[in-house]
Amino acid sequence: MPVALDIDYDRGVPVYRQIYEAVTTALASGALGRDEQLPTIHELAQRLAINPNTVARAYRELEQDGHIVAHRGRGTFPAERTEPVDKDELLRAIYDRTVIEAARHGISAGELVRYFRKVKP
Amino acid sequence: MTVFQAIVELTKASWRVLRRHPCLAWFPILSLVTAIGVALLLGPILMPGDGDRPSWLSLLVVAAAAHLVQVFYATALTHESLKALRGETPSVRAGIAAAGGRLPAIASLGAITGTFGFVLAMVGRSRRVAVKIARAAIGTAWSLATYLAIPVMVQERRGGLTSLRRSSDLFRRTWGETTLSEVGLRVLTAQLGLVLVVLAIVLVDLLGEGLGVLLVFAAIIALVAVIGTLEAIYRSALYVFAAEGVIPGPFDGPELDHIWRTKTDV
Repeated sequence: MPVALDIDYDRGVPVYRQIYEAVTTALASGALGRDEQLPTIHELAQRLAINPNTVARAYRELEQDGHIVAHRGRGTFPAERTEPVDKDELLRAIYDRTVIEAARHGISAGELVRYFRKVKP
Repeated sequence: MTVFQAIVELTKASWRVLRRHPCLAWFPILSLVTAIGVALLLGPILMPGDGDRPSWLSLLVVAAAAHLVQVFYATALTHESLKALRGETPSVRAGIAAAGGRLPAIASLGAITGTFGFVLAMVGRSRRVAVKIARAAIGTAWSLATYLAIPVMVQERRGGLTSLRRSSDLFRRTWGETTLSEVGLRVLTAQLGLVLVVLAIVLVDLLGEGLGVLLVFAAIIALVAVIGTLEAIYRSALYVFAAEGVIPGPFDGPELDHIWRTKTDV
């Protein structure tokens, strides 16, 4: 599964939510192709040494939110997008995650913005 | 649902896991046997043989060694309980191997909890009621805040101190369930202890002192094994709920819905 999935217990975010975020980030960035199969619940649970219910909950919520589709007997795949990605929504999600990550290291949103301005390409 | 009903349901859920994987009950027994072995081994070396009272230091060394043994087997049991809750097959050998690989963390956790326990025991020797009350309050707060330290150490591969910190952080999210477990365990132990006292009286009366005492001793070991295992299973389930945000299979059912508070989205 081409998804960066390192569980960070220090984030204070439940593990199922971290899986959810990793999959949506991989889908948004293109790291997870539209025809690539996601690992089964048991495969991913075993790889991460976590409870299968945790992966099941992440997949259930990903499916409910329209990010993935489970095909009986074939596996779980990214959902076909019928409408274009809402760029504002995507930027907002990336911004929120970045601000949370920066705050964990004691960096404020203001410092982050100043840094982006400084290093702008 | 009353607290008593909740305790019964949680015990039943833990019991289902234990019945499916009875090998888990070996860990508390091995812990007890090893602790007795360590005490027998260190006793003659550290204790004077001429009838003098043993020094504080000797007692401390024996108590510290027994505490480390207890933490070691609790780590092994928790490792295998988490596996059982994942639907995998636990084994005594795998649990001991896993605990063997975490010796530095076990030593640091054991050193901190053992030292704190020793200080509390010393404070508890005071005859002043206010000191005794303070000791009881601090002891209860400490046992609740450190309740998930071993599952944290096992699952998140942390050292002793960081496991304790993380445990107190998780406790803030699951204080209701943790307190219920602590209270539940004490109620269950008291009830089974009462049954054991009645059983002991009946057995000694019926079978005489020799066989009766032997059977009572076997019943005490069985009680220690069952309660220790049930508690470790529930503690592991509580950790999964607090850290991963889900209720593990055997604890997920309509009769248990009211126990888990719906804050997995925190």
